[in-house]
Amino acid sequence: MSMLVDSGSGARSEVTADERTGGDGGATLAFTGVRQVFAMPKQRGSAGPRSVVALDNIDLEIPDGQFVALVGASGCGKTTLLNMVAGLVKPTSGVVRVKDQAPRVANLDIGYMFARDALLPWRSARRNVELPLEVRNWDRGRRRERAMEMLELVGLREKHTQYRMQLSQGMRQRVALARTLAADPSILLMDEPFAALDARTKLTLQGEFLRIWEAQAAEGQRKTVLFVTHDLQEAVLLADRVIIMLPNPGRVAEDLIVELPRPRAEHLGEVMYTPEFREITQSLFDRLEGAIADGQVAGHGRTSA
Amino acid sequence: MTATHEAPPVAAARVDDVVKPPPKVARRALITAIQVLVVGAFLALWEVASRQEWIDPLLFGRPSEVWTAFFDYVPSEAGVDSLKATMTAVAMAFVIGSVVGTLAGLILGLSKWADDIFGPFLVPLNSIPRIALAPMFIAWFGLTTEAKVFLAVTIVFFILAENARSAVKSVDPDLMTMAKVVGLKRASLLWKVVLPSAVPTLFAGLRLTFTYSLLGVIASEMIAATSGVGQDIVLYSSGYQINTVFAIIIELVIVAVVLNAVFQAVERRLLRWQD
Repeated sequence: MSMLVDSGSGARSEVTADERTGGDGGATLAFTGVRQVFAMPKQRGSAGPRSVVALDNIDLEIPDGQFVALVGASGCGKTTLLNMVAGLVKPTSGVVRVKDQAPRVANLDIGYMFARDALLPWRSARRNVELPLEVRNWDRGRRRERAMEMLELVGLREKHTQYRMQLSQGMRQRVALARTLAADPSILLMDEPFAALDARTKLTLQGEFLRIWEAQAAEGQRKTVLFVTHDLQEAVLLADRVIIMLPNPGRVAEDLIVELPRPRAEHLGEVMYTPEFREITQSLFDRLEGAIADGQVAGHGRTSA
Repeated sequence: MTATHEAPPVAAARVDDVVKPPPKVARRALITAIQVLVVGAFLALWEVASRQEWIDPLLFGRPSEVWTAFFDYVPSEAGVDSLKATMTAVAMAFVIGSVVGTLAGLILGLSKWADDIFGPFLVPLNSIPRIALAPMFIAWFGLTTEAKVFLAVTIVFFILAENARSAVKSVDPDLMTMAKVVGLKRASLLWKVVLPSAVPTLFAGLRLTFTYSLLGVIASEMIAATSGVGQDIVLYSSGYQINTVFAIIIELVIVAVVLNAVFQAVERRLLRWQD
């Protein structure tokens, strides 16, 4: 258990961000007492409109520059947490702060990457990467230059004229990654960005993303990452901190620091087969199973209102 | 660490190794041959039936005489003038109907207020048999091009309004979320995401627009007009010159096919990102 440490910023406790994984320790993202209730469509035969508690009692502080993985089965509110940071969803109660401000849509400090590429099919790869730069009013030449740089970074420089239909799934996600990173946002929201890829492509893209992130971290531009995944291995492989969530109602079950050394990007394949990695994933797996077992006893979060 | 650093094995076959199907040239040629045969047989039967007077040649015409009538009518001064008059009206109806209809549809699709207020009128208005209104339009505008154009526009407008409305309403929600998160707002959201993604649907509607513009203009001309192909059809029909009527119909089909081909070429060029 030496490689896994409770992060300390779990439910209702003092925040002590790990120095190595937490930058200057200032909280970039903070959730306080967040609760989210979604109304469900009324069903025949039921007394009144039903609602589902998507998130309950979420208290999290994510320090500047930390790479956090949110792990859990579907329906535990991981994506809702990201959408709150992005300003797309307002919590039913509780407070979300992004760099000490209320979240807002179109926050230029945030890059959001989705499981589906969401590329504009009528634009070439390069013009897709330029999109966030257009919002920032970069001039054409600078946009173009930056987009080519980003495509180079994800290994698609020579594909810059291709349309979405001409690109493989892996390439599409690379373009989406380039677009997410193009404007150099300091907060990255990643919603299962590699989930739709085959195992090989997934590992390659994980490596490329981590290489870019670690390189920027080494230059002192450590981006805060909130990475949603249902893949425990991916979480441990990439993140500094793994938060395990459970559904019904969506809540934090475990919150742990991963003490695998960085940089990892250049030898992800090897990291996956080290005893340390196995020990960590094994122990997280056990905790997840344990939490699920407990959850089945304790939590029947469906409420009628 | 032992010799197990390598990534797990992945499938060796690549997608582009898939075997290509055998050439379809032979099949294509066979289909064309059968098509020619079917049309030829039909024309031959028609010709024979007419010559043997199994059918009344005065009412049903005869392919060989349709052929002659075609080259008599189409290049003649009267034929050219009629086609010009009709196509001028069709072009005007096409442009006016497309622009006004698309704009109306975009407004309905983008503004919930507009849609809630005016949306419910679309279906009932569109169900009015417009041709029945033609005499009224002719009374308003006289025997003019405007009368023809107006009738055609009343048909085309609704097709495009409905089309444009559903086009902007069915933008991929993933793209909309992405665009909002990236920071696109109002005008830029409209120009960079909503309108481009509506283009394929708009094009499908535009192609119908041409057909219905032609229909509206010809119908109006048939009811009353001083010039145009529709007038000629009425004229030759009532004079029992059925072969010329067929010749005119063939002329219209040729115009429609050519314009449709032009349309497709433009569409393919504009929508080359689709395939």
